[in-house]
Amino acid sequence: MKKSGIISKAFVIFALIYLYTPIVVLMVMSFNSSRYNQMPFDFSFKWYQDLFQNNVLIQAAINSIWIAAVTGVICVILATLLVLGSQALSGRLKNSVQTFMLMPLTIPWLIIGLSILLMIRALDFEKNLFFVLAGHTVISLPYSVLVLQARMQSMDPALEEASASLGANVMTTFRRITLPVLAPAMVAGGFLSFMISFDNFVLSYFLMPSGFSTLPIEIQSSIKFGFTPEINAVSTIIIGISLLCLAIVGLIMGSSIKSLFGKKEV
Amino acid sequence: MATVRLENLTKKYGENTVLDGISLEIPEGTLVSLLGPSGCGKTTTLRLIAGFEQADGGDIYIDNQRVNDIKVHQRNIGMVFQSYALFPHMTVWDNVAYGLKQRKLSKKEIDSRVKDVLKLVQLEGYEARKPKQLSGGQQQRVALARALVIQPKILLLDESLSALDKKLRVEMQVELRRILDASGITALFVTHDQEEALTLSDYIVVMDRGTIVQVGKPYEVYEAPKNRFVASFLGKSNFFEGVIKEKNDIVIILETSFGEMPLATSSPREVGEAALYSIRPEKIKLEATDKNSAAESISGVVKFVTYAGNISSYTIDCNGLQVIAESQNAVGEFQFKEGDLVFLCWEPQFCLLMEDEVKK
Ligand SMILES: Nc1ncnc2c1ncn2[C@@H]1O[C@H](COP(=O)(O)OP(=O)(O)O)[C@@H](O)[C@H]1O
Ligand SMILES: [Mg+2]
Repeated sequence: MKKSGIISKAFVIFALIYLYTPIVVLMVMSFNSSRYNQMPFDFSFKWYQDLFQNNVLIQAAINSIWIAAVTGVICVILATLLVLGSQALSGRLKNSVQTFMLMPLTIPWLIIGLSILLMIRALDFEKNLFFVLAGHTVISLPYSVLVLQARMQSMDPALEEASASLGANVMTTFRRITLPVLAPAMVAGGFLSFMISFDNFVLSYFLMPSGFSTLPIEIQSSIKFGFTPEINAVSTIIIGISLLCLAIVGLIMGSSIKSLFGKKEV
Repeated sequence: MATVRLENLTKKYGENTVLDGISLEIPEGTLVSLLGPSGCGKTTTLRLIAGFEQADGGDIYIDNQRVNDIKVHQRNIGMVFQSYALFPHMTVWDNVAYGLKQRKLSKKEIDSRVKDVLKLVQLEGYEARKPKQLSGGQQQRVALARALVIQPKILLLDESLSALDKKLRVEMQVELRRILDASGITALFVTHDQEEALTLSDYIVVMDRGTIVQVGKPYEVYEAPKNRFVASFLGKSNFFEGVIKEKNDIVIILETSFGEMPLATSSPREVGEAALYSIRPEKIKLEATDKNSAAESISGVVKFVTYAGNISSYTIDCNGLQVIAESQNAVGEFQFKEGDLVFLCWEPQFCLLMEDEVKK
């Protein structure tokens, strides 16, 4: 009993080290003044200062942020409509709609990017930001849907009936009951979709019009021309933002997020 | 407050007939229980009255107005859900005020009515809490207050107490009765708990598989069950089934598969007809000698004695038929022990002819 406890603890620690060492190294090195990530460690904010003078990276970051933000908003609206709409369906139709909503999760981003690119070519369009947003929406939407579906499923259908029995019409019930109950999931889903879009390289790479880039694309191309610790710094900031998003999602969703990952506690 | 009348109400889900033409009148200001086993259509009846479901046939009248085609939010019906269905994002106050706000009452009016109803359900001081911060019993009372405050024509309660534990449930039964009496409201209460139905209601409606089997005051339904279903669902009963072989004014001889049984009762059935009789365990008196002067009684051997504090329950083997008799432990010791020969006596009016069709 005790022995197996030690073994399982050791295993967990090993797994955590395996998962997070590279990230920790990257974060630590962003504070090291050496250009080539050399020891001894010499603490400095040098690379962060450089970063804030690097207009290309900053512009790319701004692009990433607004693309992710617009994607997040679109995803929340679409996901809310989809989940509410599928709720009204019955039986088999409902199941298949729900499957289709989550399908993009299982298709590799590469393929999605490629197929959108092919479509643009086939229709004889120029690459433009509309398609970037469309592509990002396709891959980010399922995350909003997942969160909203979890919330919808845990919502007591009697809430809406109670509202109606108290004299509220359909519109009022939606505004005062359904929407507020779903609201935390909408915020959480929006943040998740934001993160997915913000981090995405593959679709941006395929669909970006020339002269326009996002942070992941900039990072990738600057690595091609020689690695600078500025990238460590920007990556550290991205990780920070991602963790913040996750924390917000976790805080808002509380126990509902748990039901997303399997209903262990009943 | 109002009279509610159901006429020939029918509801089907696909091929499945869930309500098979039920008719019922709920008099103004009374508390009526719908009692029946799970799946017999109690919730469906409530949902039809509330307007959440549409009837496939028949009519619903409230105050002599047909309401079949009136939308839920215009019916002015209070509903207490089994899950309570309190709005999780609203405080107790806002939950209770919700229905009044829909009615566009003045703030002053809303304030005073919410205050009054929270006092009635004894939840003063909890106005600012969210539902999550309340115990089950308190949530239950918020749900009740929310439904009462709109002064509905009828209050519908669906197994509203069954989520509470036994002790709290009994407390809430008393509490509910007090609150409903104080508000003089007409209420229809769904339960599958016979004790709850007996103690709480003015009238009991016993349902079975989508039909109403019997309606009456609690003691009427208990003391004079119409058929085997009611007699066994509401309380316990012993059954004697067979063909009448001989009869006079006080005794019939019933030919059963366990031999001939002399039953002290009078019966409208003729000699040669098949019949089913029932008697409640507590109506059977056990005697060491045959005290029945007019004719012999059924006799049997005590097989088990079960002590349950206030009563003792005797299982008696009468020629293979197991009969249960209960007696008060008034003297604090067992009358009989296992293996004793006993005679079963009762007042003739307690041995009841059931309406069931019996095969010969
Ligand atoms: N929405 C529905 N769709 C199909 N069948 C239903 C539905 N609601 C109830 N039923 C069926 O109707 C019958 C009666 O249900 P209900 O009124 O809930 O019973 P009770 O409340 O007495 O336990 C059950 O057999 C149930 O399976
Ligand atoms: Mg039910």
